[in-house]
Amino acid sequence: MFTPDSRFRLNEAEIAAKTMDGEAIMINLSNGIYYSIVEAGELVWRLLIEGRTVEQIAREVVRRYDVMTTQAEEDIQTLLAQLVEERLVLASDHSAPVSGAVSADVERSLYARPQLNIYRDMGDLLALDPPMPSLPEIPWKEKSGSQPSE
Amino acid sequence: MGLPRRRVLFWAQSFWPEIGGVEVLGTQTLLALRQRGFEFAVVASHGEADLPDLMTYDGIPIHRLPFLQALSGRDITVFLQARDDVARIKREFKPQLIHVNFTDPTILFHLQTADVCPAPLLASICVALPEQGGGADTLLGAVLRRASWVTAVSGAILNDARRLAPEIVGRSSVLHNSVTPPALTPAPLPFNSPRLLCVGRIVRDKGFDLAVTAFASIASRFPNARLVIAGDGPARQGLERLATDLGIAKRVEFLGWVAPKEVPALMNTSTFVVMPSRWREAFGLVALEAALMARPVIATRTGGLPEVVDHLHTGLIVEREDTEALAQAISLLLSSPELAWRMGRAGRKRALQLFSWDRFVDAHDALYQRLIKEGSHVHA
Repeated sequence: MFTPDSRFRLNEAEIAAKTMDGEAIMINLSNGIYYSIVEAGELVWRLLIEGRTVEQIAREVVRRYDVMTTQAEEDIQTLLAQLVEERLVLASDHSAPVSGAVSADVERSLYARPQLNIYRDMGDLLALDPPMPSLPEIPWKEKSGSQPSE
Repeated sequence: MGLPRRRVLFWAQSFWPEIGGVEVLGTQTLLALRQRGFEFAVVASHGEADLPDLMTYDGIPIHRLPFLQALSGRDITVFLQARDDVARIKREFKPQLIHVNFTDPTILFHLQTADVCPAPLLASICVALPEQGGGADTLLGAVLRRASWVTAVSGAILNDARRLAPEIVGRSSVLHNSVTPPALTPAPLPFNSPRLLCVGRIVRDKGFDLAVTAFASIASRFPNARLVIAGDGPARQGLERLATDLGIAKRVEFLGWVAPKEVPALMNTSTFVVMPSRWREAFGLVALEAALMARPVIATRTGGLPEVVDHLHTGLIVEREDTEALAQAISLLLSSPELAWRMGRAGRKRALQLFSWDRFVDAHDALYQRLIKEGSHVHA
């Protein structure tokens, strides 16, 4: 259980992450596991990385989504536990708390429980079909009508 | 005025002019289905060769994106750029069906852009799957769960997929591979100077070293026989050394790569074909090519090979890594021309019936039509 004033930071030593078009993508650089999260989950992730407290994040989720505070707080706790367990974020004690408005007034959107998509098998799948011979290995050139278009 | 063409985005890790099962079969399949009213765009990954981002094959655009570079290099910037490029291609082409040849994790780029242009997903499993996986936290699981239909190139591979994701039982089927029938007439099997043929990339998993070892053990009994290896790869030097160490260097011929269109003629000079694979061959196109040229096949019991080679009827199946059994099978065929001839003829007949090109194209045509029709309701 994380306290309302708990804050976190990206585990920069192991994780590369970017947020774009309402989706956050994270890659664990040491083991190749991919993660993605959208909608309310992306909002939680973004605010988390900004250094907002759990309480601030919950308030913002409730402001933007059609969800009860208790439900939002419970879902954020679950997601945070998962993010910590996956070592995507680390507890942050040092940086100064971020304050101020997160954004202007917005219309509330339909809420869906944040879902962290995990793809643990990227390495296994990369090894499934070893690359076939590269073209320099192949002595012939097929003539079948085609050419580069650019 | 003809019917409007139905747009299919064909997804493969690699594609012409690169070589391999999906690559060679893919070009033939697309040309045949285009004649049935489908319009294609291909999305593939950049490989080692420096190919352009956009090529055309007989008018079909082939987009190459740095998928493997992004995934292998764990480069999030390249990843996001490739994802945006896929989204752009989808927006421009507006596919009514996404047909993914699943051999690797590049399908993640489709899943990441699935909402850009919603369309049914046909996932064709073309490779042996891991023994474990398919859970909620895996890409394989996500693909199997989200696919509108799953096909596998053999019953063995379909069983793998269904074991990993039992929920696909009602929306999955076997769609055996095929090849266009060669115009060449099968030649008689040469027994005065028998030629045993191995075809493929020379890597340990193909087991060509097992063929060399087995051949060496019976070479003195068949002094005119030769082992011919068509292909190349990182294990070639070791294989040449093995042949030298076993005293049969002059009896083993290394041809290097042979162009796919020349393979039937090469098969025609062989007495039979040996596929001693260690890995789980998803199907075994070489076995089918051999059968079409009326060549019996000796293969290992792995993956889809026992479905292509009917033991004792069209060839012989031996256990993996069993060089003694492999040597016995080679001896049996070398000393039984009548049996080899009969197996070769039976193999060709069976290949033309079970693995015919028309059946293959018809099955794709029907599946595409059905999925596009269902998709037009779901995604309208």
